[in-house]
Formats: sequence, C-alpha cells, structure tokens
Amino acid sequence: MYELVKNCYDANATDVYVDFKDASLDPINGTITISDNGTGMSFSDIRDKWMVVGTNSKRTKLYSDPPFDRKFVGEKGIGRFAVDKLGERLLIRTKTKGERRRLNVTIKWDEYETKANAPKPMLFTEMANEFFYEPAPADEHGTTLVISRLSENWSNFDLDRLYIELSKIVSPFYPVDPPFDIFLNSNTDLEYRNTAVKADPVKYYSHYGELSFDLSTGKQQVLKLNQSNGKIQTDWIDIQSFGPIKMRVYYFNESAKKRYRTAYKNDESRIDGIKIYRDGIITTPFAEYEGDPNKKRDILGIDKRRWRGAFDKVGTREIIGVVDISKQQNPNIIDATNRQDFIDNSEYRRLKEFIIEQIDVLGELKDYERKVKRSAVEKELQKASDEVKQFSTEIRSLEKQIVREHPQLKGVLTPLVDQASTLGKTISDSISEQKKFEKDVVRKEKIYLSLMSLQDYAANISHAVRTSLGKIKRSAEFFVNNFPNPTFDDLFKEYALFIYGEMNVLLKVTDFMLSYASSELDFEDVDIKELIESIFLSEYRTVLEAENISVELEIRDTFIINTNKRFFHDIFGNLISNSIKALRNTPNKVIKCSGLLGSDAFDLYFSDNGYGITKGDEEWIFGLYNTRTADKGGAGIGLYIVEKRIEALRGSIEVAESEFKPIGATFKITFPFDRD
Amino acid sequence: MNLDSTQIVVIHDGLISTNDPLLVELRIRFGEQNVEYFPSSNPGLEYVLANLSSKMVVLLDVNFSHGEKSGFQVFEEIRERTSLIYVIMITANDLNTLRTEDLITLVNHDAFAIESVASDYIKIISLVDKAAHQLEVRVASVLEQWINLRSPDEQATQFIMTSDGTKYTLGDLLGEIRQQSEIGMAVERNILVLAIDLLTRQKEKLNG
Repeated sequence: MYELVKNCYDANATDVYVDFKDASLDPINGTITISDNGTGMSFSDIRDKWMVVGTNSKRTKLYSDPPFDRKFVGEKGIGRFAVDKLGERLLIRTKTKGERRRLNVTIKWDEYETKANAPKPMLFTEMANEFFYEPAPADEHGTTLVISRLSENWSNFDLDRLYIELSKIVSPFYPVDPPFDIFLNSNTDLEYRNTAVKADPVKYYSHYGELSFDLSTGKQQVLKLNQSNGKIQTDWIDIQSFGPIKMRVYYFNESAKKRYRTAYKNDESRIDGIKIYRDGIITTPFAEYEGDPNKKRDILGIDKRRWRGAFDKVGTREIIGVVDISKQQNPNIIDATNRQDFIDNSEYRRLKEFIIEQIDVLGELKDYERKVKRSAVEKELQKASDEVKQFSTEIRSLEKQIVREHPQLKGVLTPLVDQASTLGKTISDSISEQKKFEKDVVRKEKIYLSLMSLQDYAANISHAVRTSLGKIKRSAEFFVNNFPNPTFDDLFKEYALFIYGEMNVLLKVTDFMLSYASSELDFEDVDIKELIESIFLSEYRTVLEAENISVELEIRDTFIINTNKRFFHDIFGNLISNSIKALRNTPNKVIKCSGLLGSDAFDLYFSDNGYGITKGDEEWIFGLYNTRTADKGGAGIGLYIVEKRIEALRGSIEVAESEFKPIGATFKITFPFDRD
Repeated sequence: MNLDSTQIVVIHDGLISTNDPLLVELRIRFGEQNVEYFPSSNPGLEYVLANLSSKMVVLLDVNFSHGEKSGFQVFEEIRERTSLIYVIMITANDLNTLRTEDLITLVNHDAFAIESVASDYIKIISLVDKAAHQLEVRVASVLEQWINLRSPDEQATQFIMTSDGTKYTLGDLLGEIRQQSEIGMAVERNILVLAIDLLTRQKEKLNG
C-alpha cells in the first residue's frame, strides 16, 4: 500500500483516495481502491512500464514532469509486485489529460498462475489481459486501481498501522507544494471516513527543540543545553557545508515514555527516530516500510554510537524528529540509487554529524536530569538520616526523663530507642550502598579497552629481539670461527641466507614496535562491523580475488569502540595472509568471518577451509618464530602479532573447532567488555 | 677425557631449527650421535627422564610457547629425579628480569650455569665442556657407570655393613650418595681417600 501511494506522488497527484470495502471480514469479496488525480497512464505506459518489474524509467528520470518536478520516491517498477501481494485481481482505470477515452485493463493473477503451471507455461507478459476503452471528459486525469480477491483481511489495527505509515510520507511540519493529500476510507472502520491522513501531533514528549536558519545572515540554529536550568535552547552557527536545514525534535525522557506507553497501549513504534524529508516528502532511504522496530535500519548511525555509553546517549527510540531539506538549498544531499542511504560525500557526512550533535545535546540533558535526580535523592536520604539521628537523640533524653518519672514505661520506650538507632544505621548504610551502586554503573558504561602494561610489552619485545639477534650472532660467529673451511661451504651459504631472512624478520618486529609506540596517538571511534567489512571487501578484495578465495562475512551485530584501527588491520591482515597460505591447495577456497555481540563480550570467528592446524599445535602457533610454513615463506611472526594485538586490546584468541571440519581452521577472538 | 659418551641434550625454542651453529659445533665436538635437539620442552623432558642412566648435560631454554612447561619447571622435574645431570640454562630474557625465587631454585638445586642466548656460542660450548668434565669426575657418576657395567648378581651383592648392622648394595650406596645422606657422604669421602691412597702407593694404574 505504502509503495502504491508513493507511486501516486510520483505521478504528480495532489489527492489520493484509499478505500477499503469489506476488506476486514470478507477479503475474497472485498476490494481496495486507490485512486489519484495524477498524470494517468497510456496503454503503452501500462504495457511497457507498469507491468514490467524493474523498469528503468524511474532510473533515468529522477524527477516527475513539470510543473511539479517531484523527486521520485517510489521504488522503480514495484507497482505490479505490490498489487500482486494485495490481491489476485486488478482493474486499472486510467486516463491522461486531453485523451477522450478512459482505459480499463483487467488483470487476473490467479488465472495467470494456473496457466503458468500448465504443461506449456506462459510468461506473464504474454498473457492477453482484457482491456477496453470508455468515453470520458477530456480534462479528467489520473489512475484508479481496484484490487479484489484480497490476499489478507485488513483489520482495524492494520488500518491504524497503514494510517501511521502513510502519514510519514509527507512532512508533518513543512507541507508539500503543490500539495499531496491522502484520504483513507473504510466501510467497516468508523474511524476512517475519507479521513485526511496527517501525522498525529506529537504528544507526551518531555522536551522539544526546533531549528531554523537565516539566509540573510548565513546562520544556522543549533541546539544547546542551558546547564543552569536544564532547558533546551538554541544558538547560531554558520550555515554548514550541507546547506541550511530545518529540524524539529521531540525527546521522551523516562517519565514521558511511560506516559506515552500508557496512552498508545505499549505501541512504541511511533517513537522512531529522525527522518529526513526533502521539500516536504520523505526521502527514499527513510521511505522503506519496516514494521519491526528491531529491524529498522539505523541510517544516521544514531544507535550504533550508543554501545559506548548507553547511559548518556540518546537513541532512536527516545526521539521523534524531522529534518527538512530541499532540492534547492541542499543539492549535495543525494539519495543513493540503492535507496538504502544517501551518497557518501563530505556534505552528507557533515549532515549526519550535525544531526548527532543535536541529539547529543539531548544526551547532555539526559545526563543533567539524572544528576539532578540523583542529588535530589541524595539530599532526601541525607535529610532523612539527619532527622532520624535527631529523633533518636531526642527520644533518648526523653527516655531518661520519662523513666525517671514513670519507671513502668521503660519496657515500652527502650525498644523504641533501639529501633530509632537501627533505623539511623540502615539509612546511612543505604546512602553508602547507593553511592557504591552509582560507581558501579559508571564503570559498566565503558567498554573495557586499554593497552597491555609497558613492562609486559618491553619484556615481550626484548625477548623476541634478543632471540633473533642471538641467531644472527651465532651464524656470524660461525663465519668468524670457521671461514673459509670448505667442509662448511653448505652451512656458510645457509647461514648467509638465514641472516638475510632474519634481518627482514627483525625489521618486521621493529615495525611492530614502532607502530605500538605511536599507536596511542591515533585512537578513534571505530565501528567494528564497518571496519571488518572494509578490510575484507575493499583492502583485501583484489588479493582474495586473485587467489580465488570467496569471502563470507556474517557480522550480525556491531558496536563502536575507541581503538586504534591499525591493530585491527594487523590482526586481519595476518589472519588473511595465513589463510592464503593454508588454502593454496584447496579447490573451493573460502574465508569466513562472523561476529556476534554477547552480553559481556564481542566474539569474532575467523575460519578458512584450508589444510588446518596440526593437533597439538593449537597454542604453539602463537609463539614468535613458530611456523610450520617456513617453506612457504612463513616467519612465525603473523600469529604472534595477532595475539599480541588482541592482548593489547584486552582480548583473547584461541583455536576453536573448525567450522569446516574435518578440514580448515577456526580462530575465536573475544573482546570482553569492562567488568572491573 | 672420554667426552664421546656424554649426551648433550638441547631443549631450546630459539635456535635455527636443526642447523643452528651451536648445534653444529656441539655435534663436531661431542659427536653427531650424542647431541639431541628438542625445540619444545615437553618431549625434551620426556627424553631426559627416559635416559637417566646416561651422563647428560642439558642446555635448557627458559621461555617456551603456551601450553609447554617453562625451563624452570623442566629443571625442577629433572631435579626431582636426579642431581647427576648438569643443566645449563640459556635464556633470551634479560637476566635482571628473572624472578628471585626462580634464581634461588637454580642455585639451591645446582644448576650448572645460566647464560644469555646472545653470548658467543663458544662460551656456551666451553660451559658444556666444563660440565661434561665434571660429570666424568663425580664419584656418583663413576660409581654409577661402574654399577651399570656389573652383572645383576654383582649389583645385588652387599658391599658394606655399618656398625648398626645395616647392609648396602652398590645401588643402595649410589642412592645414599645422590641424596647426600650421612652414610652417602661418608662413603663418597672414603672412596676419594682410598683412590688417593691407591694412587700414592702406586698399587693400581689409572686409566686414561
């Protein structure tokens, strides 16, 4: 439905009527009618474009006919598919302006399927669909789709969902010009009587921010938190590279979310993050319908960054926002042809940053509110503690006085006094408990990441270098002691080659040291999934292709860590180069890398279907200079670096059971989160 | 000196495999058949423990890969079984970074020497020479070789009875010497005194 209505927009319609007739109870006899006042279609349009899935007409043309010049939002050639899903029969009634006849075409998919399954199958395009013309006024234009023999029934709940989705097509704040109005009608749901589809006003939010711009001064508004009163305000900055934008954002804090859940019966799908509209119409990356909020794509990267500090960052399920851009003011924000995102250019990257900066202001607000609440709780507790102390002091002096005058009351008063002092202690205990808990929470917010200690590192590397130098020195010493004794000619040659090779190994080791020395300088936020994908699909693509190795990547989850990219390049670079050696004699070479996020660690599995690891070598292979591929140029450095790099990230690596057993090898790499 | 019969066992994972100049020079000096090389510690230790009756000098690395016994562990396990094998530790570690307790173990259990892997191999070989020589002249070594040359009947014969009536075979005596018990030390001293006595009275000719 969503796709069909978007098609109406692309056809320059200003009104769309969606009508459900008996669709809730009796879908076989029910109908859905979608009619618009758009340009309409000619016979050849239907035959050559509408009926053909994936026609290129929308590819080559990005905008609809003048004077509307609308940026197409519908997916190319999806119309027939969409209708096919809704029902088995379709009547298209369509007419372009100036024509004197209206075209009627009837399509019966149910019959087509019967014929397609017949002994002599027919292609859909070969089917003779029934059509006829009928007279109509010349100035009439538009298309009506009548879908019958419906595949599913449409409950009131379904209509509500459709209403919400349709209401997202048009920006709630900056109406389209020329307009695009949608009306929904149902003969079974009283709520929809040619009801104009408009985004419900956002209710129950706790904070609201609105940004605009001023072209005369070249300024753009940004959000700002007033730290003294916790209010969201605005400030002016220069208009950014992506051009001036308008933005509205509604934030739901905890109590607002509670109110919201109560009002909308736990349906949180309406709080769905930030969407970008262009000239009042939703942009294609945001235009795909996805009912399950867990499957929604995080186009702007709002949720990805939350792994780092889930407590301070605001995510898509806490905000409703609209960013309005325009063709004219923001020409470099361009929809990617795959409809999944915008074209990655510096302007779009800056726009994403800008949006996240605004959301981060809400994060500051969240933090501010938490602190205020925390100090309020602390104050309350402190006050209670003071009062109880005062109370026990008073009761104790009272006790003395009363007992002196009325000794029979001692039995009643003493337990009271004891209770008061126990209560005092309980309260002060709970204050310290609460403080301890806060501290724990702060610690858990960080993903654990730090370098191994410098002493460990120095010991490690000096051992490696000395071992290497020892070998070189003994070889040289052998020359000093024995050259030119011809008995040793073979050994002289062997040692000369060895010294040369070992020097190269030493250079690698020192490079490793140098990278370590400088690595602290360039830590940055890294999206693990993106990084691994770029390593496999860009950097090593040509190498892997040249070796005929196919790559299977299954990085199901991702998270952002602040790390040194170089470390990951070293890890995967070395693993891949090992796999290439191990796969040399394997016919269908595969390298597989999968990753998943657990509650306390991120696990990565790296596998190939090569000759595998000899039993008993599972730990030995990580040692420096330990190699079984010396004949293939293995120096025994790769896995050593891999292990050290992973250890430096406080992770671990081990040989796991091969995913390709009985052949192949699998490494399991674990990066634990902070548990300290 | 009869060096040919001394086994040199090299347990080290930081050598050029099989053809390290150190191994080559040891083979030249002690004979190809007398130099055994193990790049990892576990099989090396097994070999040593299976050949306790040989005169043996062990060149032992300190660091091995994960899952393998460290040089110190290997040393201790050898010492649990015998004090007659000389062990020379060769390490790529900075000697200052060795743990004090490991050093104490080495000294208290008679490690023969500790040397850096970056030293001249000639120095290491001279240490092996020295150890092999000392092996030759240790009473227990000589006695052990003597015992090994006897028939089982002779080995079961009781040689000494102490004043309290305890009887000892040659094998018993060897055990006492190895454990450095009172009787062991007394026997060891008496053998040396007797040897000097024989030498000065020229009643026996010494071989070699």
